[in-house]
This record gives sequence, structure tokens and C-alpha cells, in this order.
Amino acid sequence: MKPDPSMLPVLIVLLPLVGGVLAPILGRGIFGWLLALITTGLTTFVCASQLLLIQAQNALTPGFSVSYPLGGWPAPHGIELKIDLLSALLATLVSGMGFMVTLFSRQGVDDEIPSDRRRFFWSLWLLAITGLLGILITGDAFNVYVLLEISSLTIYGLIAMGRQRTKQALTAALNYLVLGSVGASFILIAIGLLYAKTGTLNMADIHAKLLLAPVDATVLTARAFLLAGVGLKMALFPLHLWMPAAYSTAPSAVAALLAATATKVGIYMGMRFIFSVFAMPGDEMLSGGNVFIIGSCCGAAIFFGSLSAARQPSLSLLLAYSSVAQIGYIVVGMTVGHIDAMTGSILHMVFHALMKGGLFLCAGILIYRLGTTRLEDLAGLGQRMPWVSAAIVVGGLGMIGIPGTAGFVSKFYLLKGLILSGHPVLAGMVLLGSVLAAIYVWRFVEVAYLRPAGDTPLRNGLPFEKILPVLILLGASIVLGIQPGVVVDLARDAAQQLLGVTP
Amino acid sequence: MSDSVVLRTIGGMLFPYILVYGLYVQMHGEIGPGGGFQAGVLVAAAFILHALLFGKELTDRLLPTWLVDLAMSLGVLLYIGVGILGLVKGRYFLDYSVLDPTHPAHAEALGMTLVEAGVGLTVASVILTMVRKVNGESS
Repeated sequence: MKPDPSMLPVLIVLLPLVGGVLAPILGRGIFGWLLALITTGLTTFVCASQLLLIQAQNALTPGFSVSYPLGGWPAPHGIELKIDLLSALLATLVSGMGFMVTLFSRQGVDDEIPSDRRRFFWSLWLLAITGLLGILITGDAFNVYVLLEISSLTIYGLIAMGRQRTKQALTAALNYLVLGSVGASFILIAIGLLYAKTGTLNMADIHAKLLLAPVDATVLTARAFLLAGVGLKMALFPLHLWMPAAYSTAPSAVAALLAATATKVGIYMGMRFIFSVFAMPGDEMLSGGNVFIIGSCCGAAIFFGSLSAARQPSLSLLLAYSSVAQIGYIVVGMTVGHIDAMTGSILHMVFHALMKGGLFLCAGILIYRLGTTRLEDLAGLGQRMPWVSAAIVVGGLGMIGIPGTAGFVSKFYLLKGLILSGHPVLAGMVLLGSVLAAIYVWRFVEVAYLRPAGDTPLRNGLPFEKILPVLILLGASIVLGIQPGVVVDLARDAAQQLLGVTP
Repeated sequence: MSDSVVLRTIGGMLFPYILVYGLYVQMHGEIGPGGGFQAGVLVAAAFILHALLFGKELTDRLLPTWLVDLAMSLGVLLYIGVGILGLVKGRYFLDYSVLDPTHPAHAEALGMTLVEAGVGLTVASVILTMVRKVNGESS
């Protein structure tokens, strides 16, 4: 009899899946929210334990990862869950954000979703989290596609439940559905080509087989399809067109969850495929031409994303376009394949999720109390809702990357890596991006503090469950800006593991 | 709802046979072509035919909405339940051998039958719900 295997890996997807299936049965009234809260809380606990276990093992044997064969069928023939430091870190982030946003959104969901749909809302909500977590921990390429479809289909549904089911929300969901399906098909084509080439679907096995075979047109085509598909999913400029509309019309809870997690998981897919599947030994991860193309996309994302953000009529759209720019930062760091840039990239994924999640929650509070996030209706917000506008300013400072906020730490590592790897132009873009971010943050400051108070009536109180997540997320961005040690170590180890560099 | 006597009579006669055929495909899936997906669609088709011929009020009385809603979740729960049994017994998730430790082939057959039953239940109820929603009910 073998010793009992640890069941932590499978619990990461199992808990939200069971919760998502139970929600339509049990989810009437407040129970749906309670179920989602308990499920995401437990999942966060499991992910965090897994992260700590892997980190402890990693200190002894670098490059450690947990493998879990489903059904007891060993890889490469069976499907395995494979969790390394990066997977565990991001799984903790995704489930933790899921918990925070769930905690936040009880009244918001009561406010925005009709009562007969609420139990299905919580079901879709938990299934979306299941899909996102599954992508992070699976070691099977086809599984990635299936879980991607699970998370995407549920997210289309969640977006379409937008405010009073306006036409914009439906249009945004349809746009995302079409573009997202194109992206998913590209990823499927890439996986199909890889399968044709190697005859296996296990990622580690594909990688091992690719190392033995010469790089030919099939592999290059697969990589091209994969990068395009993943680019659509992560909303990298110029493939970001679905994102601002989807974020600004979705229910406020959904917008916060998406901004904090969904695009991050897209970026994770890109990292995983580029560095763990396609990576060639002794070769650069991406050729000079690829770095040029993706680097230009990132530069354009930072430039146009920030400039567009400064011209938007509402806070939700402003935040969405700011996300376009921030995704540019994250991707630029992973492109050059330098250890410091990769550390910065992973750090920025975590910190951006905290800050942008917190900011979208603030936008959710505005919708809950004012019913709008149009900037002209926010005039004088600094006097009318001092705490909320202060929180938005704190998040905004993090977007700029002022020293003392978490945004500074990740940008510092990005810049260091970009300069050390010999890409001064890209480093310049990152610096320019900070200046441009100051423009759109200033727009909010100007509206909120330098204009006379508007007369949009305030409704509803400000319940404690709404304040607490905002405080935790934006508080964490300040604390981690001053004491980033723990997360930096984790990100550096994860980056080393991903790049296969020995310390 | 159809007024044609021929359609209603023949449809009414076919209805139980389609259900039985669905069950046959369901049970057969473990050793040959068939299985939960196909069987689920067949069973759903039987009820859709019933609704077309006799009107959806009558079908709703035969198969209430709450039951269909419940079946959607129960099917997946059955699948997950088989998996969790493996976890509870200290083996891997979805490890069928815990169902009959003495005879691995029997355990596998039993496990697959249960899992396919879950798939069939969910597919049938999801298809029925989709048809119901497209029909414009409760929106």
C-alpha cells in the first residue's frame, strides 16, 4: 500500500467546482453569497498551504514541483496536475482575489442582478474561478484549452448580466465572445499542431520531445498561433479591443474579478508555453525578431493605453484602459527573458492585481452609492466621500509607481532587468509610462478635489464588508511597497524556476 | 403543440421507446459506442418531442422545472462524488479501484458506469433547460 498522496493539488479545483455546482441548488437568498464566500475562503487556504509547502521544498531542492496524477494514471499518458512556484503563487493570488471580491459584493450583487438569476450568478462565478485556477495548475496542454473554455464561457455570461442588462453589457459580452472564441481557437490550433508534431499532450513531455527534434515550420507555426491566441486572452495591444467595454459594463464585482485575475491567467499561459514548452536549450527563449514584435506591442500598449485612459469619460473606462497599459509592463518583462525582468513581471502581476482589484472595488462602491462612475458626476468627491477618493488616489499612486507603493518595487525590477539585458528603449517606454500614468491619475484628482461638489444624490450606506476588502488590498499595496522582501523572494524563485536558471 | 392526430398518436407511441433507447445507449457506453453525452441528448429529445406534440404545460407537469434544475447539479455531483470517494479512501482523485479493491476490472466498469450516468443526467437536463430558455420562458 502506497502512502496516502497529498490531496491539496486536486482540492484547488475541486472546492470551487463543488461550490459552483451546489450554488444553483442552495444559492437562494443570502446562501449563494455565503457559499461563494466559504468556498473561495477554503480554496485560498488550500492554495496558500500548497504555496508554503512548495516554497519550503524549493529551498532544499531548487526547481521542485508537485505532480498529481488524476485517477492514478501516471503522466505522460494520464492527465497530471503540475504545480510549481509560479502556479502556486498565482493560484493563491486568484483565489485570494476571488475571496476578497466575493466578500465585497453581497449588496452589490443584490443591487445589480435580478433575484431569480442570483443563484446562477454565484454558480458562474465559482465555475469561472475553477477554470482560472485549473489553467494555473494543470500540466496537460489540452486541459489548458478545456479549462480556458470553462472560464471564458462563464465570464461571457457574467459580463452579460451587467447593470440592468443594458444593451452595452450585452454588446460587450458578444464582442468578447467572438474575439475570445477566435483566441481560444488559435490556442487549440497551436495545441493540435504540437500534438501532430510530438504525439503527446503532456506539457513536460511535449517539451522533452521538442528538444530532440529540429525546429521546423510546424513548431514555429504553433508558436505563432499560440502567441496570437494568448495575446487576445491577455488583452495585449492591439488585441485589447474587447476589454474596456467588457470591464466597464460588467457588474462591478465581475469587473473587479476580471481585472485582477482573468488577464493574469492569460499572461501565465503565455509564460508557461513560451518557457516550459517551447524553450530551446542554449538558445534565447524568443528570437530577436519576436522580442522586437512583442516589445513594440508592449510599448504601444503602455503609450496608447495610458493616453486613452486620460481621455475616458468615466472612471471604469479609465481603469480599464490603464489595465491595457499595465499589461504592457508585465509582458515586456517576460519577453526579454532576463531574471530580473522576469521577477519584475511576476511581481507586477501580483501587485497590479492587488491595486487594480482595489481600484475596481472603489468603482464598485461608487456605483453602489452614486449609481455612476462618470467623471463629471464625481466632481467634489474628495469632500463627499473622502475615504473612497483617498483610496482611489492611493491606488492611482501605485499605478504611477511612486516610491513607497508596490508599483514602484515591480517597476524597479523591470527597469533593472530591461537595462541589464540591453533593451534601453523598452526601459525608456516603462519610464514614459509612469509619466503618462500621472496624467490619468491627475485627471481623477482634479475632478475629485479641485471642483465644487456635485449634486448627484447619495444612496445606500457604506457597509463594512465593502470597506474591508478595499482596505486590505490597497493597504497591502502600501505595506508591500515598503516591505516587499517576502514577495520579491517568492517571485525571484519562481522566475528562476521558470527560466531554468540555477541561483 | 400539434393538432395532427397522426403526429400525436405516433409521437405518443415513440416517446417511451426513445427513452428506453436513450437508456440503452447510456448503459452501452462503457463497452462500445455510446455513453452519457449521446444518451443525454436522446432523453432530452424525447421530452422535446413531447413538448412539441402536447404543449409545454403538459411536459412541465411530467418533468417540473425544479427537477431539471436539480438534475443539472446532481449529475456533476455524481461524477465528482465518484472522484471524491477515491480521495476519502486515501487514493488519487477519480481512482476507480477503490470501488471494488478485489477486482480492478469490476471496479473500473462500475466507476465508468456511475460517471457516465452523471454525464447523461447533466447533458439531458442542460439541453432541456437550453430549449426552455430559447422558448422564451422566465426571462
